[in-house]
Amino acid sequence: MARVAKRWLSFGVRRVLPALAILTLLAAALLLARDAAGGSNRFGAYYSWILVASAISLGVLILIIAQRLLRLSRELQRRIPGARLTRRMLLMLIGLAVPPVLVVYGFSLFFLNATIDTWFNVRLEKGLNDALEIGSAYLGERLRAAEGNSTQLAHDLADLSDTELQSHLDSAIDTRGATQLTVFGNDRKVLATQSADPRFLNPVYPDANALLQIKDSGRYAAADHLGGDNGLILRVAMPLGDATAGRERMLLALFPVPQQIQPLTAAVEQANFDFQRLKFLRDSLKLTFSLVLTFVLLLSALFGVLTAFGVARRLTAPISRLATATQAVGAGRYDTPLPVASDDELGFLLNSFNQMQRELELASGRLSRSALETDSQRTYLKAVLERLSTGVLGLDREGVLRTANHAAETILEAPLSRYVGQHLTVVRSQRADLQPMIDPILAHMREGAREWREEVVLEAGGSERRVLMLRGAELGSAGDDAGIVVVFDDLTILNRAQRDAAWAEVARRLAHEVKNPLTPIQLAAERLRRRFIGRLPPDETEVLDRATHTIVNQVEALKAMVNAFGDYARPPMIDARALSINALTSEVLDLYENDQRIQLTRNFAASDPMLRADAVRLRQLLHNLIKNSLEAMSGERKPHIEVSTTEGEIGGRAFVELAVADNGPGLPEGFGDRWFEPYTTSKVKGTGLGLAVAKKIAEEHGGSIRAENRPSGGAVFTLWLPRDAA
Amino acid sequence: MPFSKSTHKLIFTAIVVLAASACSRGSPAAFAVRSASVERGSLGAQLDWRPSALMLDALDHGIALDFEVTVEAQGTSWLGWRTTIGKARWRRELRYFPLTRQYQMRDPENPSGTSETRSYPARASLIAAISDLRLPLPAGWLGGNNSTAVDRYTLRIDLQRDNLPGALRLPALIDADWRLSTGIYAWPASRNAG
Repeated sequence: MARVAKRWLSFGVRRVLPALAILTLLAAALLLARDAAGGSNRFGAYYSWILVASAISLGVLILIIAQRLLRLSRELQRRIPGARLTRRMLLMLIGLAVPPVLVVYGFSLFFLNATIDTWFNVRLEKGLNDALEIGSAYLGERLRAAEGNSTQLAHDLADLSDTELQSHLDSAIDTRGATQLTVFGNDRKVLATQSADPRFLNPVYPDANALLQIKDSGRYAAADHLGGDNGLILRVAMPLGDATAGRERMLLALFPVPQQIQPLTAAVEQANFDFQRLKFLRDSLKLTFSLVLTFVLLLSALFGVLTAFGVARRLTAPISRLATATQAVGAGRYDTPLPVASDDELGFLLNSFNQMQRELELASGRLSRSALETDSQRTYLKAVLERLSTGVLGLDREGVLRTANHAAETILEAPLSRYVGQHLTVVRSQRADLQPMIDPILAHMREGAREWREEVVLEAGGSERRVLMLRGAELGSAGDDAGIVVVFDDLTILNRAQRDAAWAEVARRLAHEVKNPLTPIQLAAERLRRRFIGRLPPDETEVLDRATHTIVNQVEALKAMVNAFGDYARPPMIDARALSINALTSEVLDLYENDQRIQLTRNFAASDPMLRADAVRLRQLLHNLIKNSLEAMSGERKPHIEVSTTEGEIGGRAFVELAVADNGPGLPEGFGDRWFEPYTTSKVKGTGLGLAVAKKIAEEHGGSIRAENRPSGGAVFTLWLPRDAA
Repeated sequence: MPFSKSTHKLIFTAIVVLAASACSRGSPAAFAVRSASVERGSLGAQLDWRPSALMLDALDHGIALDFEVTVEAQGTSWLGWRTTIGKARWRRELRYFPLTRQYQMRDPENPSGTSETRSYPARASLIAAISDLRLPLPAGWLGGNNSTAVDRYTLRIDLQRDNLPGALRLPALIDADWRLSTGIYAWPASRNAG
C-alpha cells in the first residue's frame, strides 16, 4: 500500500507537478496579456492570486529542475552509464532551445516598446485634441444659445406669479426647444416644470457647485454628461427676476444636444479619452507586457530545460541500458536482454544487441566447452608426455623452449622447466654439457629442416657417456609458426643391453665351441706326459714336462674363463629365498678370515636386515667383489677390506646397502659404467668378467651396483638390494 | 555576539530609517476618515485625502477612480461578540470628461442616475466633494432592527484597484500610491442622532 502511495506521489511530483506549474504559468501569462491588451478587468480581483500562483509555479519548476540537475550530478559522480551522454544531450538541447527563446524575448521586448511608442503619434494626438477643441467649441456655441434662450425665458417668467408659471412653461418647452424647464421656489420646491423627454420628468435641484456658480456669476451653464449612453445635456440655471426675500425663484433649463451631433461628440471624446488613457498607461503597458513576456520566456526556458531533461532521458535511457548490458557482456554475463520499445534505428540497435548477446552466449558456451576439452586434452597430453620415457622438447620457431617433459629432465639431468620461455642459447650458456644436443637442434632449425634425426653423445662427467637419438619435426603445416618438437631417447642402456646380449652370445659360443675341445686337449697332454716322461732323455723329458704342464694349465685357465663366460651368459634363474644379509656376508668373509694377507673389518647393521635373494648367486657376487679388491690391492703392504651393511630408503623403497671398501689405489681414471661390461679390466690376469657378473647378479635381484673412490683412499663398491617386504 | 555598541547602533539606525522610509511611502496618498456620522437617514463623512500626483495625473488622463464606501451598524450579542445589524454600501466613481472639461462623481452601478451624478468644473471641487460625502442610507438598511440596538458604526472607504484598467492593475499591486484605503473607522452610535 505504502509502495503504491509512494509510486503515485513520485508520479505526481515527476509528471503532474511540472505540468501543473507550466499550465499555471501559461494561464497567468495569457490572463495578464488579455487583460493588459483588452483593458478589461474580468480577472482584476484575482491578480494577486495569479501572481502568487505564478511565483509558486516558477519556484516549483526551478526546484524540479534543480532536483534533476542534482540527480544528474550524482549520477555523473558515480559514473553511472548514460549520465555523461545525458549531460551532453541536455546541454545540446538547452543550447538549441534557450538561445532562440532569448533572442525572441529580446526582439519581442524591443518591438513591444517600439510598437507601444508608435501608438503615441504627435500628429494623431494633435488631431484628437483639435477634434476635441472643435467639439468643445460647438458645445460652447450651443451652450451660449441655450443660455440666451434661458435668459429670455427667465425674463418672460420674471413677472409671472407662481400659478402662471406652469402654463407658460408648457408653451415655452416647445418654442424654446428645451428638454426640461423647471422653476424652483426658494425652498427648492418645484413651482412649475415641463419636460419634453420622459427621462427628465423629475427635476433635480442644482447642486451646491451650481448654486455657488449662480451666486458668483448670476447663472450656471454647463454641458453635463448624463451617464451611460444618454449623451450630453446642456444645463442652464439662473434666478428669476429680483431675488427679494422670500421670493427667490430659479429657472433650470435643460437643452438637448442635436441627435446627429451626439454620437460625433461622444466619439471624439471617447477617442481622446482612450488616447490620453493609453498615454498614461504607456509605461504600465510596457511593464505588464514585459512581465508577460518574461513569464513566457521563463515558461519557455524552463519548459525547454524540462523537456530537454525528458528528451535526453528518453534518448539516453536505451543507450544507458545498452552500456550497462555491454558492461555485463564484458564481464561475461549474458542474462540481461534489453527491452525494445521502438521500431526505429535505436530499436534495431537493441534488437541487434540482443541477438549478438544470444550468439555470444552460444559462442561462449561453445568456447567454454572447447576450452574444457582443450584443457582436458592438454592435461591428457601433459600426462602422456610426463609418462613417456622419451624426452620431449617443444620449441617455438625462434628456438625458445616452450615445454619439456619429465623424461627430458631425467634423461638430460637438467631442470628444463626452469628454462621454459628462454632461448636454447641461454640453456646452452648455462648448461655447457647439453651443448652437443642443443647445437644440432639449432642448426636444423636454421636449415629449416622439416624432419630430421641425429645421434648425439653427451659427456656427463668422468667417463660417463650417454648416447641420445634426437628426432626433430616441425609442428603444423608449412607456413605455420607452430614451432618444432624434439624427441629423444637415451640409447645408452639400449646399447648396453645390446652389448650384454652380444657378450652373452659370445659366452654361449665359447661354451660350445671352445670348452668342448679343451678336455681332449687336456687329456692328450696328460697322455703324452704319462707315455713319454721318463722314456725320453732328461733334456727332452724336461721340455715335454714343461710343455704339457703349460698346456694343462692354460687349458685349465681357458676352462675357467669359459666357465666365467658361461656364468655371465647363463639366463637368470634365481632361487630367491629369505636370508639375512649379515649372516650371508659373514659366511663368505669367514672363508677369507684366515688369509694372512688381508685385514678384514665387518661393520654390519644391528637390525640384521633380511633379503629375498638367491644365496648362491649373492655369494658369488660377494666373492667377485672381494676378489676384485684383493687383486686391486696386490701391491699394498697392508691390504684392508671393510665390509659393511646398512639399511636405507631410496624413493620410498627400502634397500639394504652392502659396501666393500679397500685401501687400494682406487678406481682407475675414467672408471664408469663401462667397467661393468664384460672384458673390461685394468688387471693383467683378469678375465674382465668379475664386475660384469656382479652387476648382472645385482640387476637380477632388482638392485644396482656402483663404484667410487673413497675420500681416505681406495675404492668402495656399493651394492643396493631391495629389502624383503615380508 | 561579538558586535560592538557602535555596530548595534548602526544596525538600529538603519532599521529605523528603513521603517521610516517605508511609512513615509504612504504619506503622498493619505486617505483617512476625519469624522463620520449617521444622521437623518444619511451617512455623512469627512475625509482627509491628499491624492498623489500620479493619481491626479491618472484622473486627468481619463482613468476612472472607483471608491467603495461601506458602513456597518454593529451591536453586541449576549455573548459579548460584535454582530452586524445593518450594512450599506455605495460606490462612487470619479472621472474626467475632456470634451466638457468637467469632473464627475457618480454611481458607476447606476451611471444614468441623475440624482447621484455630480459634475464639477475643477478637480479641486471634485476632491472637495468626495472629501465631504453625504450618502443617503437605504430604507430598512438595519434589517428591521431598532436603531437603539446599534452600539457603533464602522466606515471603510477603499479604492477599487480591481476596476482599474488592466495595464494599470499590475503596477497598482506594487505601487503604494494606488493602495488607497481608510481602514475601518468606527464611532459610537450614541454620538449620532440616528
